[in-house]
Amino acid sequence: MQFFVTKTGLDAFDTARAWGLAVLLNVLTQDEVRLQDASWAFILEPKGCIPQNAQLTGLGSWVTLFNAVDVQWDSVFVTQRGRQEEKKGQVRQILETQLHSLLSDLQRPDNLVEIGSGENVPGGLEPAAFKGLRHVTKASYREDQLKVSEGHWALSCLGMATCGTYRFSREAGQYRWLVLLPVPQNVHFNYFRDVQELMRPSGLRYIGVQNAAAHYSVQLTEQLRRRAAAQGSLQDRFSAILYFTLFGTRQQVKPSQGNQLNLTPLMDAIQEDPHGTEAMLKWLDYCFRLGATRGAEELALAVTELVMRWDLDAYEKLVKVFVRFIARNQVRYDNLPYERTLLGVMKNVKV
Amino acid sequence: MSKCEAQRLEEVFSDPAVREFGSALRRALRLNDDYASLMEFEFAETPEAFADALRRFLRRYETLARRYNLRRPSESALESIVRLADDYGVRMIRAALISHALCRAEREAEGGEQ
Repeated sequence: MQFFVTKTGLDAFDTARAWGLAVLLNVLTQDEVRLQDASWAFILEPKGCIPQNAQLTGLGSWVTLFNAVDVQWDSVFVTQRGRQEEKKGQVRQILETQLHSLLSDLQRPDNLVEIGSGENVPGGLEPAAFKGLRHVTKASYREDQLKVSEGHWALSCLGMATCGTYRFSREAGQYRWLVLLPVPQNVHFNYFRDVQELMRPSGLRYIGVQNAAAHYSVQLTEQLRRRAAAQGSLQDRFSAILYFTLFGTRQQVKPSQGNQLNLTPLMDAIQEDPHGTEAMLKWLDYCFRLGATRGAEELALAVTELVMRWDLDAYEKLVKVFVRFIARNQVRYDNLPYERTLLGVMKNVKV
Repeated sequence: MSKCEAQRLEEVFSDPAVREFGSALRRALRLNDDYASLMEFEFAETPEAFADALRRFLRRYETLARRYNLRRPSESALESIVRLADDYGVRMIRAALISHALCRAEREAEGGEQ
């Protein structure tokens, strides 16, 4: 039985809906759910069957989603302070009451999200939902909130709360929320905490959102590499990491910057040789860790650029900067890369 | 990404002439703090300027080689690396050369794996 999350063009909203549906199907079937990106839609296929008169109410794994501390409801509704509990309850109630109609709707490949009526998409979920970003507002500030139908809104909130990562930290001198969401390409979903584990916070001091996103992408790839090495081949692939930042003004939370980081070069590398790429990822991780120390910002920028672009300019910049750090005796001998490590990096560099 | 083009950087990195000069640069940086050569390589934009930078590097390296009794890059390696710079462009050769300077030496690597 296949389910289709037809894309709207709002990247974070679409991806969050796909994760949300995966969580929902996983709770209902208590089994694996396969997620595939078919470019126009995310296609989901649960391994197990959904019982005829399935109910979410009373299911232990369903209740956990609303009580566990690692499900980030407060962060998803960060723009609706004071109403976070109410919104969480609303998500739960909508999914419990509209379950069957929503699932039958999502089984049609031509299902579309009704935009313009329903619930407001929260800014903590989709940065494009903020006013003033979708249309030219000119002198008058009349743009309405981005409203979507209730069922899809609830799915997206569930997906973001369970599979998104929120990190509140001081970066480049300002406190911000860094929001990250991996985009599945071909994933076997078993439990939402498996996805959270891929994006575990590192506790480093990053010099910007790109730097943080690039390091998270290397960490995610390393986790997938380990799984691939243990299982013999790469089972799960992610196409990108969506990232954006939010910052607090006096009264409101506003978006600052965001983009997506293409994971294809890293995924291709670990797919080709899960064992051989270990040293490369370890060295890149070391560069990020050293780059997070005071005075090593240049290295952080260079390694970020490489992970984002994978071109000769970025590679050359990184080796030049790294050799300067060696010269300043800031790199211990054990942390110098082997030739094969650099060959692994070079394999991904496009000239 | 063009896989064929990507392979060229690996090929250049594995070229014996680049390896020979890269090892010499690594020794020069670690034993003699020869950043002048590094800067000259960075500023070289044409194959001619790069060849000049290599010759100046060899002159500086000669003193170090005499003091520590080190092997010098051969004349044929110099000719070969200049030809590579003509064929592939300076940026790629420079990136490969500096890569050798920052990684562990072959013997050290073998020792580390044991």
